[in-house]
Amino acid sequence: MTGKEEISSKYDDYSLKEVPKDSRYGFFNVFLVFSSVYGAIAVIWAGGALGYGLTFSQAIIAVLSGTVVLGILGSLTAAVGAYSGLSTYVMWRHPLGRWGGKVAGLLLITITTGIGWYAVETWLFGIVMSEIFPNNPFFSVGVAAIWGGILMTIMTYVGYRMLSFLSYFTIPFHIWLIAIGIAIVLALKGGFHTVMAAVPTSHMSLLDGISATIGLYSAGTIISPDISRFAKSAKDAGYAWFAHIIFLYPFLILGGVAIVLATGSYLITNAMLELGMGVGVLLIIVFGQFIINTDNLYSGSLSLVNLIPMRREIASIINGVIGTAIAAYVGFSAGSSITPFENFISLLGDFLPAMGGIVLADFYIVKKYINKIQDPHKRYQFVPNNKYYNINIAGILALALGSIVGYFVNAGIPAINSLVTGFLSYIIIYYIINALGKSPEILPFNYEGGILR
Amino acid sequence: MNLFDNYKIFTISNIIVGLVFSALYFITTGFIQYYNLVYGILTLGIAIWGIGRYYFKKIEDDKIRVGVQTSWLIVSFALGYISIIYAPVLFTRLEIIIIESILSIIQILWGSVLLAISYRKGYSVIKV
Repeated sequence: MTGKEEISSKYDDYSLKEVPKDSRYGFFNVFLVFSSVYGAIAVIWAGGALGYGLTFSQAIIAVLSGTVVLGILGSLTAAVGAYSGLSTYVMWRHPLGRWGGKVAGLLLITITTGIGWYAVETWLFGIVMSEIFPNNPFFSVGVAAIWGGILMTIMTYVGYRMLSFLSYFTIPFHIWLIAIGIAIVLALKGGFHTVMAAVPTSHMSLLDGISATIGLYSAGTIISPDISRFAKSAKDAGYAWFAHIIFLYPFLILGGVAIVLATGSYLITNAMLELGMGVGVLLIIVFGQFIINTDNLYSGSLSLVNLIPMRREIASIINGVIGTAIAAYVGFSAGSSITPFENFISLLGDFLPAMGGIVLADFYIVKKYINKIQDPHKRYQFVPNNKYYNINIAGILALALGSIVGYFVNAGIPAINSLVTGFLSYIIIYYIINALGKSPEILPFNYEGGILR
Repeated sequence: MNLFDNYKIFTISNIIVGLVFSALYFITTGFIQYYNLVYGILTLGIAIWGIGRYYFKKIEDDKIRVGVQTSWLIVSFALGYISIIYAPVLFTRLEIIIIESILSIIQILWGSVLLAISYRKGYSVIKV
């Protein structure tokens, strides 16, 4: 069940143990990695969706409201990662129990992010390549998906250091391209005045706009400990999250809104291409996809290691091969639709916000006030020769409740409904079971030290 | 010549490069004017900020770290600059495009060589 034997390799990235202090990085490194893996093209594209239904002033309100919520939630979650030094899924072993954490990691991350979204992005990479170089077999959708997938898997193999390296060189590069793209579109389409006066093509309520702003980033917020566990301190992690969300997110998403309002084109990249930005636009897409997908695969590999202990880089190859095969299959079988697959992984992704609420409730409320662990560094620490549990009933019930509310209740903001339900129900269930003199945690096991099997 | 002296020369050279890019504003027309002006000011800003930090750091080790950070910013922005310079909307006279390309390639290659040497000496860009 547990073992002192180590799974050690140069690229394992402490997948099943706490990141040691001497392997951690400062504010700036974590800020850049957050900015590149969770930002960029997906955000500017989502801005396009907002610009399709909101005026620019409505979009500002929606984005700023969503940004504040995401900033607070993400900072708290990222701080948990830095305090514990553990990956998101190993952390989940506290509020869900060891088995609960393994199953939740498999369903909510390995299948969705690690394989599902990785496959979708790799397939899209193949499509972009085939558009850049039409009628070239090496750049056909299926073939490009295969070599693109292999490249992304190699990057993920190296792990956090590669993510850092990519982030350092692509974030300034990316910001430059996007800023210039926005400036060109605005300059040639009548400037900021046109944007402010533009009427959106369709209608979206302000609440839906806020919901979209939060929903887009909620998964990244919840799995932020995968990155923040490398932060030197909780303060560095929290500030890095808050800084990147406050400075970068509104810039990118409102840039997307402005372009759509100015051009009337739903696809931002098409608008930029039509205005003569040439290969720059395609670089935005390709680099964005590469980094986002490397992180998808990275989180997927961490959650697979949590399920079945193995070297993390081997897990990245397993996920990478499955995801690339799916992408290539879709690419080769022309005419087949990826929509049912996307719907399936989106459905699983809907259950993620509840998990975020449960982690926050467990770390900041239950561990502190019910379990009386005042030192935050010790709340998620696995101490050798101590007893831990395989199932946490409170966590599993709260996850079910939060997921049901998030999925079925459409009033308000579904991601927030789910998160708040998970947060409150976990505390209430844990407190009631505890007050009845029972423990919500059952099926104990003894952790003997070493890696967390 | 030690690593810090190399960084100092690179940074000072980038002040000149920044001035040249800014000056291109006066001999071009259209969007490329603003593209070069903004990039020139950005390069100038990064280089001056780097020199200011050299001045305030007293230990050579810290000065090298500043050099790595300054070069990294210059190289990565130069990559962004050159990757879009051939876009139709930024098209200008051939001789201007040659100047723009040569200057940014110098920034990228020179900066990258310094970063590679620093990495071998233990100053990795992701650790400084």
